[in-house]
Amino acid sequence: MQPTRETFGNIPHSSQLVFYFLTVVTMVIFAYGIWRRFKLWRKGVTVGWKDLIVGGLQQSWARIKPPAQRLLVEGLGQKRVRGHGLAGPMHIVMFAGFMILFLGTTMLEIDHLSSGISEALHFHKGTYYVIYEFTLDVFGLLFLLGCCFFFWRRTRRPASLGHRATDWYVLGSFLVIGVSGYVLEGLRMVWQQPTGLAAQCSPVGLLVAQSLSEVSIDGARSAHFAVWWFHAVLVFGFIASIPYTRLMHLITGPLNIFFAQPILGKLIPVSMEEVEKTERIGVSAINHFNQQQLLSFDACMECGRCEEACPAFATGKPLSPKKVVQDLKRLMTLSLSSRPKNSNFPLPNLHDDTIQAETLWSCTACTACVKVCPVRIDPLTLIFDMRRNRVGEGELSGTAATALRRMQSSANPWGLPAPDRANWSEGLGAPTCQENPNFEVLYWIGCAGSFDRRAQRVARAVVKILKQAGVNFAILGREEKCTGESARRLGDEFLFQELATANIATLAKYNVRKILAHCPHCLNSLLKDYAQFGGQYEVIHHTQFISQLIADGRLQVPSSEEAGQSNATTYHDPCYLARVNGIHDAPRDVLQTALGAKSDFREMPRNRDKTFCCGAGGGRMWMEEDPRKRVSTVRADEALGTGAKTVAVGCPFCLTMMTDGVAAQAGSARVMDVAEVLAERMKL
Amino acid sequence: MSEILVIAEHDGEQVKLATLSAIGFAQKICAERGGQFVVLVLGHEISLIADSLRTFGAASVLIADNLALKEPLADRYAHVIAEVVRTQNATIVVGAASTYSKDILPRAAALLDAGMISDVIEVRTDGSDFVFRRVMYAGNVIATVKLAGAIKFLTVRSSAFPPPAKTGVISSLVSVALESGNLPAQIEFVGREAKVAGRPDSTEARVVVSGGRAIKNSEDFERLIGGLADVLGGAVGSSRALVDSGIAPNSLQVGQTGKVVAPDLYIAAGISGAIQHMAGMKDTKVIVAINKDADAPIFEVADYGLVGDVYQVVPELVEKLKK
Repeated sequence: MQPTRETFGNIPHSSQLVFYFLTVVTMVIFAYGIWRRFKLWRKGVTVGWKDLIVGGLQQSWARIKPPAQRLLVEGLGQKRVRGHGLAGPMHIVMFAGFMILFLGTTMLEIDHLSSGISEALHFHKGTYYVIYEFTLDVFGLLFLLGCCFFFWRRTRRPASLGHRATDWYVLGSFLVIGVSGYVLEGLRMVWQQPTGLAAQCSPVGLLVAQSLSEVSIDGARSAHFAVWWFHAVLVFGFIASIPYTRLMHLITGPLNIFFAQPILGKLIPVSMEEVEKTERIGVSAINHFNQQQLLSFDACMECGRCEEACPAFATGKPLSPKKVVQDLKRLMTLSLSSRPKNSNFPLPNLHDDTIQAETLWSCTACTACVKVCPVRIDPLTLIFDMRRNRVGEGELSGTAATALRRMQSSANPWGLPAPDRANWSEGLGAPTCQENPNFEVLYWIGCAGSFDRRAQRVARAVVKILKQAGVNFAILGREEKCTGESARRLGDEFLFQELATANIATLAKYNVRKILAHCPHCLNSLLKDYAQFGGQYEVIHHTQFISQLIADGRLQVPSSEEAGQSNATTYHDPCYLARVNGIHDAPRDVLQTALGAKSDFREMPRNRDKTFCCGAGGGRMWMEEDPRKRVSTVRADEALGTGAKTVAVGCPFCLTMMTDGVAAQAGSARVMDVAEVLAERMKL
Repeated sequence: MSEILVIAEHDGEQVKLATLSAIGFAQKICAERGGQFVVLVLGHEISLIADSLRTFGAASVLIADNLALKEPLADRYAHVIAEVVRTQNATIVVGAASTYSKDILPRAAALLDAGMISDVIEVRTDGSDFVFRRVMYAGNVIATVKLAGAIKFLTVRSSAFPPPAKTGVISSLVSVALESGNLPAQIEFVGREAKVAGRPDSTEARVVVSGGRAIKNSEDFERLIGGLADVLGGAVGSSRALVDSGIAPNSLQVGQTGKVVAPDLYIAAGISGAIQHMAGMKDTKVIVAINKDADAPIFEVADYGLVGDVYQVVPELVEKLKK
């Protein structure tokens, strides 16, 4: 006899009918739950879903392929769930178990339906059956293992993990479903008495059956029937409760992964026409967010990874990305659901009632929360959208507002005289575009390099290195203006656009194609912000450029005899270089070359794309920070903890913040740009 | 011919430095256009203050001395000023651009139905009228304006007009007749919370001495930075680092997130010269830097640099200056 088992074996016809009736009821409850939330998402600003499928098949596919790939790799492949201690791997274990059991149940139903049509279509037998039974039996264990882990974890409840009472129901019912599944399997084997492979292919089930061997066949039959119903009702309960519990992320997570904007460091532009049409800028009410953003609120599992990665949260500021998302979700539910007509309860406002101003201004735009979110929720863009509104309404005051005014009046945030912009380069022989119109690469200096006496040294070091290697470069000199990066991230979109438009015109005048920048903020803005306004450039960081010069043999770096403690060096990855733009090898390569073969390079615990912010991004450079707990001090502690005598950086903001941080901790380490470390070694 | 009335601002003991610029302004107008100016001092027991104003060539120094004027309360001050303008037939009323003037002068102008402009940095005669240049939008715009009406109220920026020249003539002292009963009394003086330090405000002072991270505690800050400021008659400032560590009070911070100063002389002692600090002192005329680290960025902007330990150099400097 072929190994198989009868679908709905031991289940009377009447029960089967009730079963299918309950299936329909469950699906209706499930569909209503989804529809209920879907109606809320639809109230956001439309995002042009239809654009995905406009044009020919090939064009549509080109647009759908990247999100579809993300769905496979990050949804099914669980790529972004990895990490985070045991929780990441265990989720993958539980997910694998769940998916296989889900797939198995689906296959069983397909077989049941198809064999109803013709016995020839019956495939749930033979080798297939053996593999099927074995796989489900093993993956069921994985599922249970995951459930047990998360049950245990929730009893210990990490601080960043959100919790609702229904979470116990979800995990509890998962556990009971898993266990009752095995009991069911064991009871079946008791009354069905399979032998050989048909029994051995379900090892766990067989084990249960052996422990139940004292039960009579008839007893097993009735127990099987009872447990079957128990199991079925729990499964119905689970499916029906998906849209009403945290399980909703099974639906919204993949949806958000599909629809989310995947490129870090990119903002959604706003045009003057839009503002004239809508008579608003940014977000001041929940339905000003777009549909994907509203959907993303429902994708949040409150896993807390964003909160743990957030430098503002870590330093006691009133900001947790998770809480922002959850608060907005609550507001969405409250204000977009249809309300009873007689409700007099006033709805909370988005600003102040729901999201405090201090929360918005605490963000350093470091992008760590976006990077770590397993389902690609983007709290940063939410914050930017709300900041835009606050700035548009004139709600930003103080030093950051002053910096914005100065960017407008003097094209630099310190309000220093614009004509002094090129003073740093006097006597260096750095040609301007006018002096050297046939340059290969434009060196973009940025405001810090132009005006900050400390950062000017970085610019000079870079120029000396470029000249040493005989690079054909030019600078804009007095024609350069602030990129407007921090204006945009503070929410002043139109000041940014004004500065960007002026810079793009200047860059076009000199036919600039390739830009070299030592400031990751300028780099990201020139690369991603400017592209939205017609400025397409190849933008590279000075560490990349220098690393290439070294690789090409255009820079001869003398080998170092110095070694050991004296040149113990660590490197602080700037957020906008490492995390947002994925550049972390080049600065290390240059440092290795500069420090020599016997170098003592020490990594900080948080490095590369997991770097911890210096505290100056997102316009925080222009704001006062409570001295009791500064982001820069926390990071400086980490840097000094490596025992390094030199803290190398690759960003002028980081240079300022880390210098302050090290000095505040009375540390003796020198804080230097990578280019300065190299220039020092080359005695330039 | 102009009749100019200068409102003197004081702290009960001496005239505020900025008032001298208003007198300088009056001297300038009178020199160019003829006419004379008078100075009005309001307060209680202010004869010494009035005396100190007699050497600048005013036609007279008017003293409005009354117990009700002991504190600068805008309702009665405005009333007295308006009365004096009427009796003196003044056509221009000028004060220093200060909080005091902002509080009092617009009310006096309103009583006389006169126009007022603030923050004047330049004046030009235009026929029988004047053209003023004034600062707007936090210094980003300079407006050129005329002021209509027979009486003009204005405040002048202290940095824009030089202190007045002393003249040989001693101005006469004239008491303003006051009846306490006639003075408005809608405002009640409750109390005053003043900074204990008797030093000038860093945004007003011609000399500012600032301390940075090199200073290790509050006592040293007072002894070294305060001591040097005192021998120079200057104000005290601080970098953010000292404010953070509680060594210097918040009110002293100079820089991007503190005060913006523009003195004639700025002494940065133990300050490395981070851009956030420099942004607050960029308009200084002469910068002197004292720092142990010869490589500190502050030396790049300093007109005079002294490489040395603040703890050693500053006491020596104070000693030398005392001689």
